[in-house]
Parts: sequence; structure tokens; C-alpha cells
Amino acid sequence: MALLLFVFPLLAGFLLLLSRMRAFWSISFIFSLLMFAGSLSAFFGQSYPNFINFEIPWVPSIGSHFHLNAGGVGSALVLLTGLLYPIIFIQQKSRNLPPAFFGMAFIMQAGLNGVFMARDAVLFYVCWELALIPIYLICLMYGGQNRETITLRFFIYTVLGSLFMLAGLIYLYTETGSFFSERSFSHEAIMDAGSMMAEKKQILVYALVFMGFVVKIPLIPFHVWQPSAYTNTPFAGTMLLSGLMAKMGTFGYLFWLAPTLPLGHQYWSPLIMALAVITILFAAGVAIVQKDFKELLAWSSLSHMAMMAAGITSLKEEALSGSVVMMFSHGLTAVGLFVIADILERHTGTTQIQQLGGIRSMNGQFSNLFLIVLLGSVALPLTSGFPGEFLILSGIYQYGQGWAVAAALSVILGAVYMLRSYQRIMLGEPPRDQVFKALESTDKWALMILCALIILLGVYPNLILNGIKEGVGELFLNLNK
Amino acid sequence: MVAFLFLCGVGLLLMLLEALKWRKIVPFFLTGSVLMAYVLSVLEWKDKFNIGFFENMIGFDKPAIAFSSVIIISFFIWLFAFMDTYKNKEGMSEIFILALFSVCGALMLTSFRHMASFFIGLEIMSIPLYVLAASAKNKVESNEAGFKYLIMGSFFSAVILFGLALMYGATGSFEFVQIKTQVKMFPEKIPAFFHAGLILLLIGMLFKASLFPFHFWAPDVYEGAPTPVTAFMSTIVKTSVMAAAFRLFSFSFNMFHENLEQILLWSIVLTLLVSNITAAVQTNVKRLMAYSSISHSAFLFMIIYVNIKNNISINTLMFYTLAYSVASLGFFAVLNYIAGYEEKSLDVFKGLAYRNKFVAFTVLICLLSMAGIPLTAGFFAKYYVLTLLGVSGNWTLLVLAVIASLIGVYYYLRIIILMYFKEPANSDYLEVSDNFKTALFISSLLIILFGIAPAVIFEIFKV
Repeated sequence: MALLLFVFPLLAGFLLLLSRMRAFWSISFIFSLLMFAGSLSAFFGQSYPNFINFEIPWVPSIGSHFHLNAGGVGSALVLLTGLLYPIIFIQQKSRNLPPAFFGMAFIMQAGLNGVFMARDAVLFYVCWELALIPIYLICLMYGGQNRETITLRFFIYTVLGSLFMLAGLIYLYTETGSFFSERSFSHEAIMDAGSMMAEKKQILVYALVFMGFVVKIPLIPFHVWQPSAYTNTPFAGTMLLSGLMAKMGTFGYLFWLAPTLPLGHQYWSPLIMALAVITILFAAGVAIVQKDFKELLAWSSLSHMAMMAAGITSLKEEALSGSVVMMFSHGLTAVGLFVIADILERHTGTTQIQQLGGIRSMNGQFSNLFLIVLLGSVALPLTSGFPGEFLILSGIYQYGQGWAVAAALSVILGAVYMLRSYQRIMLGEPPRDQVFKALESTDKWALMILCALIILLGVYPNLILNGIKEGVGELFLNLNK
Repeated sequence: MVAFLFLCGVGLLLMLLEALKWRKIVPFFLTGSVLMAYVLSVLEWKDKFNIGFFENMIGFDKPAIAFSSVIIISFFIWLFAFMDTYKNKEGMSEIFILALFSVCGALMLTSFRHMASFFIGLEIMSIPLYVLAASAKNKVESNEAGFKYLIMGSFFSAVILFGLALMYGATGSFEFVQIKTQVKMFPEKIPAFFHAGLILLLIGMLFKASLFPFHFWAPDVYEGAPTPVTAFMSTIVKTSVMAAAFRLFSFSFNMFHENLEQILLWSIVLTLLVSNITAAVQTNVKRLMAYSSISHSAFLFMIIYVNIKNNISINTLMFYTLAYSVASLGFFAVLNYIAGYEEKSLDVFKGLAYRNKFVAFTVLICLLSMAGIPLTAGFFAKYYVLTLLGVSGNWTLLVLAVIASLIGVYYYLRIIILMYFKEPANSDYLEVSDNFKTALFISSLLIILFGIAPAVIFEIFKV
């Protein structure tokens, strides 16, 4: 199944890119449903190692294996990827996106699944880049004004990060192997080698590898590419970027870096924690003063991603689980909010908060769905945002109480900017000549599914927590050695 | 060995055909022979095939056969890619014959064991190139390029010759194996001018591979020479020079490196910086590719540099030359096809994707491969180099290589953006011929194949 989850979208992507089918939307939708079924079966079939594991030698002379495993921590994110694709496709049905978009989206899905499943550093890096290339192209092809400058900036930042990460992974590789075993790029070998290294080396390698992840998460001061990339991409691209792509950074940090180099982590974690907390507060603060709803969402997404990074930095078991849950939940709410922004733009022609208002009086249903997604985003109890943030904050509290207090402020700030924007967009008097028609059924379905999932996960977070428990436990084996 | 002799014979035969005015069958005959030579060369791939020929002047051991095969494959693609440019035109067979002789010289450079065969190979390869560089004989730039290349090339050939003479004077032998043993056995008896000779040899090789500070000829010659010749120089010639440098500095002179190593290291470091930074600001596509080619030379020389100490990297060198040659040929083929001799601005690539999707896609693959993006052969080539640097502990070089690749990504991406996101100046559909299509197909297929399963080719040397 692991191989299928990687190869199938790749083939589907090339098929859509190269052929000229008329029914490309239906075909993409069916493919995405198949992928969803596959990821679901992998997530719940984790107890069958043969089902979720795939390994063959790839480049024997440097000890690299083509090793995919759909279990562990990544399983939740594979599931998220499988889940979000059909929703995004359904919601974007009426946008008349060209087949090339769907093709690239599938190639990106292959990359994403590869990143979440790879158990070999070379494969991980290959998939990492594979996931990035389609999104650059999507930004370039369908972006708004200044798309070339913005995409180039995005590209340079991320490639710079990933090349440093490559250097770091190679360093780790050179430390693997011993008298008894060959050098290897496998995850276990790298974990073993990492924990044995001298402190000075760990500090250096940690910095190199972290560069790759921090650009992707992103944390201040590496965030410069993010708001402009989010706002200039078409909505479908933004959903992929914020819902899924950003998770690559946090996942990589969680799976490949933080538990691998305990001493390096110890050295750098105060700085990273400080950066993360600054990002949480700064981004939330910037979000409050944004006039454009889409930009507000970009900054709010930044703030949430930094929260996950802070949770991982604390390196406590509950915080790691919490981060994964929050990644999942943030995937749902971020996509939901961008769906809402998309609907707003299509119905009213703008996402400027000032020019909107009183939509509740015109379309109550939309306003209710918005409220649910929004509450999920500000982590109200009984929505999906809550368990994740709660676990993360409790982990940060164990790491340092001051940090937890500062990070918790973001919950308040989040409520401020979200509820204020809700108030201004939905309540009050509508501008004079504005009408807000009933939602299209595709938009309605996408939002309703997302809302249902947000509530389901809020009521029963164990759905995800049970699936990743073992994976998180494995990561801690290394730390306790 | 058989392949080498066979190709020399074919060269002579082709001259005869031309003299007998049967020039129409030259392209066909040549293509067939090159394919045949490839088969012959692969057939020699056996264990412990290590006999020297002609009084031990030439020997086709495994590395020699591997590099010969890379050269022959590149030449094969080159023929398909540029066949239509010359077919049934004036001077067609001369150009093919000269190229073929240059290839023979290149094959000699992969397999020499003797100073004489090394130097003869170098000259057999270079002299046809001087003519080829000037082969657009009505254009001033082409003549200038040929002349410049001739003067500079001869000068550095003389430098190499001087170096070889000094080394001969110091050891009394022309054979590399004997020189090696002598230096190993009686290091105290070796006079100082031996090392001077070695440095001169190194400088000559740096010139041939266009490394800083001996790289100034490359952009001028690349720009002035007709595009097919530029492609020839940046692939086949480069592969053979690298094979020769590998043989010289890894097999033969690998144990007295105190002075060599520093020169080589600084040359590589400066090449990486200078070439990439200069390439990033070029607007002339051929000069850009020249600087990119110089940067790839630096990557290749890094492998040789690492190899001075640990003899483990012949796989990497061969894989890199193959990946780079294939991608470079694909790119130059398209450049030659869409731009005339006078058009050198990057704008020729504007909107190529609207004019012909297949051609644009091939260029995309080639550029991604040169930039080292995953799932292309270039990625693994670069990855192996970086791993090699890591394993051997050259962390400064590794970081520099990473930065250089980053700048590389920037200037390759510029071309991709031009192709896909700019309106073409003339939006007619671009017709392509079958030969050209075959060349593009072979190169993109190889790039993707080696990008997905590098072990197919990478594992052939068990070191």
C-alpha cells in the first residue's frame, strides 16, 4: 500500500498532464477518492507491517534504500493529504481549473506522501523536492500580480533551506556505519548515529538540517516568502500550501531532526523556542491589523504553524502528539478558512474586510459554517483545534512556564482577530448594493464535510492520537537511550 | 581497444568516401559505425582486462571503457541532434570527419598509459576542434573563436609538453606506471623539478577543463563557435579531459600531493564562485551555458580532488559526466534548432512552450537535471559529489558546492520561466524533424531513467 500511495498519484499526475481528457475533473476526483480510500486503509491497517511497508535496495553502494512506511507519525499526515484532496477538488469544481493544475496537484501529492512515508534520507529529500516543484509551477502559472518575483523569492528561500538540509543529512550519513555495518541513509541508522555524535558536531548538523525545515514552517526571520506567496497564489494553490505543504516542515522537524540529535536540540532549543514564540505573537499581532481577509489568514496560519514548532521544540511526548493532532486540525481549518475566503471573493468580488458586512442577514447558513470553522481555528473546546493546542501548551509548560504563558497569549490574540473579522464580515449592516446569493452546492458540501470533521475530531481526538501513539513512542526510544 | 581502432578506421574510410564523391552516405554510415563502436566497446567489458597495446602505450581497462562508452553515447546523440544542421550542406562530411577524429583523440585520452599517447591523444582531440570552432567560416566571431582557441590551446599544449619533459628528465621514463613506482620507491632521489613539471601538467589540465584562472577562453570560444561545436566541446571534450585528469592525478600521481592539492583546491573554490556569479548575470545564452559548463567542471574536479586521497569515486565521476553530457546535448540541440548563429540572447527561449510542448519539456528536463533537481540524473550526480565530499570530510567545499548549486538553480530557472511564462515573439508552431526528435527523446529518457534508478549505471564499478 505504501508504494501505491506514492506511485499512483505520480502516474495519475503524469496522465493528467500529458493526455487531453474532457472529463478530467471527474477523473481527478475519482483518483483523489481512491487515494483517500488508500490512505484510510493504511492509517487503520497499521498493525499489519507487510501492508504498510515497502523496501527495496535503491543505490546499494551508498547504502540507500527505497523504503516507504505508511505507519507511525506520518500516517496521520498521509491521511490528511488523502482527505483534503477530494475536498479541495470538490470545492474548486466550478473554478474551471485546467487539467495541468490537477496533474501537478497529484504529483505534489506523491511528493507529500513520500515525505511523510520515507524512511530513507535520500528518498526523503527526493520527495521533499518533488513536492515543491509542482507548487512553484502552480504559483507561477496561476498566480496574481508580481508572481514571478514572489515565486522566485519562494523558490530561492526553500531551495536554500533544502540544500543546507541536504548537507546536514549527508553529514549524518557519514557518521553512520561502524566496524560491523555499512554506512546507511536509513532513518534508524541516522537516528542511531545522531544520538552517538559528539556535542559539537550535533550542534553544527542540527543547524544545517534545521535550515531546511525552518524555511518551510516558517519561523521569523525566515518567513518573508510566506505571506506574499499565500496571497498571490490562487485559492486552490493556497489551500495546498497552507493545508499540506507547510506540514512538511513541522513533520520533518518532528521526525528527522528533534529526536535525532538530543544534544544539538538541547543547545538550540531555547533559541528555536524563542523564535517560535516570537513568531506566534508577532504573526497574531500582524493578523489583527490586516485589512484583507486572505492576508489575515496567511498570518494566522503562520502563527499556528509556529505553535506546532514550539510544541515540537519542547520535545515532550504529549506535545509531539499534540503537534500532530494540531497539524491535522490546522489542515482542516486552514483549508476551510481559505474556502470561505474564496467564497467571499466570488460572491462579493473582494476579500477586503472593510468592504464586507452583514452577510449573516443575507445567508445564514454560510455564516454558521464560517463560525464552526472559525471556532475550530481559535481552538474552542469540542472543536478539532482544542486537543492539539492543549497538549502542546501542556508540553511547553513542562519545558518552561514563561514560554507557555507567552504562547498561550496567542489563543487570546487568535480569538481577537478571528472574531473581529467574523463580526465585521458577517454581522452589522451590509454595504448598500451588496447581495449574497445562496452557496453553490459544491462549496456547501466542502464546508459541511470540513465542519463535520472539525467537530468529530474535537469530540473524539483519539481517532488520530491512537494512530500515532506508537510512532511517537518510537521517536522517544532514541531519546531515552 | 577494438572500438577505438574501428572508429579510426571509419574516419579514414569516410575521407575516402568524400574523395570518391559518395558524400550522401556519410551521415548514415557514420551513425551506424558509432552504434557499432558502442557495441564493440561494451563487449570488451570483462574482469581483469588489463593488457596494454602498442608497447603498453594504450590500455583499455574498465574505467577507460566506461568513459569511452560515455563519449560514444554522447557522440551518438550529438550526431542525431545536429545531423540536420549539416546534412547535404557544403562542408558536411568535413565536419563529421573532423568531429570523428576528435572523438578518436578523446578515446585515446581515456586510455593512455604513456606520456606520448597522452599528448598525442590530446592533440588529436584538439586540432580538429580548432578547425571546428572556426567552421562558420563567413562569420567573424567564429574565426575569432577558432583563432583564439588555437593560440591559447597550443600555448597550453606547450606548457603540458614542458611539464612532461621535466618529468621525463627527472625519472627517465615515459610510462606512468614506471614513474609512479620510481617515485614511490626512491622519493629522495626525485629532483625538485619533477614537481615543477607536475604543476605545469596540472595547469595544462586546468586550462583544458577551463577552471579558474584559466577559464577565460571558454566563454569567448563557446560564444563564437557554431552551436554544434559548442555542444561538442562542453560534452565530449569535457568528458575526455576529466577522464584524463582522473587517470593522471588519481591513478598515476596520487602520492605526492602537498603542492598539487592546494593549487587544485583554490582553483576549484574560485571557479565555483566566479563561474556561478558571472553566469547569474549573463543575458547571452551561450555565455551563460559556458559559465555553467565551467561550474560543472569545478564539480567534476572536486571528485578528482577528493580522489587524490581516497580512490573511491570513479563511479561518481562517470555518472556525473554522463548526466551532464546528456543534459547539455539536449539543451544545445534545442538552442541550435531555435536560434540562428546571430541570435544569442536568452529571449530565443521566450514562450517556447507555446510553440512546441515536447521541445520545451525536453529543455525543462535538461535544465532541471543540470540544476540538480530530484528525479533527474543531475540530482544523483550532484548528490554523489556532495556525499563524497561529506565522506572525505571536505566540509568547506561541500558548503560552497551547495551555494554554487543554489545560484545555478537561479539561472536555470530563468530560462524555464522564459519558456513557460512569456509570450513568444513569433508564435508559429515549431516544426521538428525526426532526427532531432530522436536526440531529444534519447536524452530525456536517459535523464529520467538515471534519475529514478541511478543504480543501473552507478553500480558498475565495484570499488
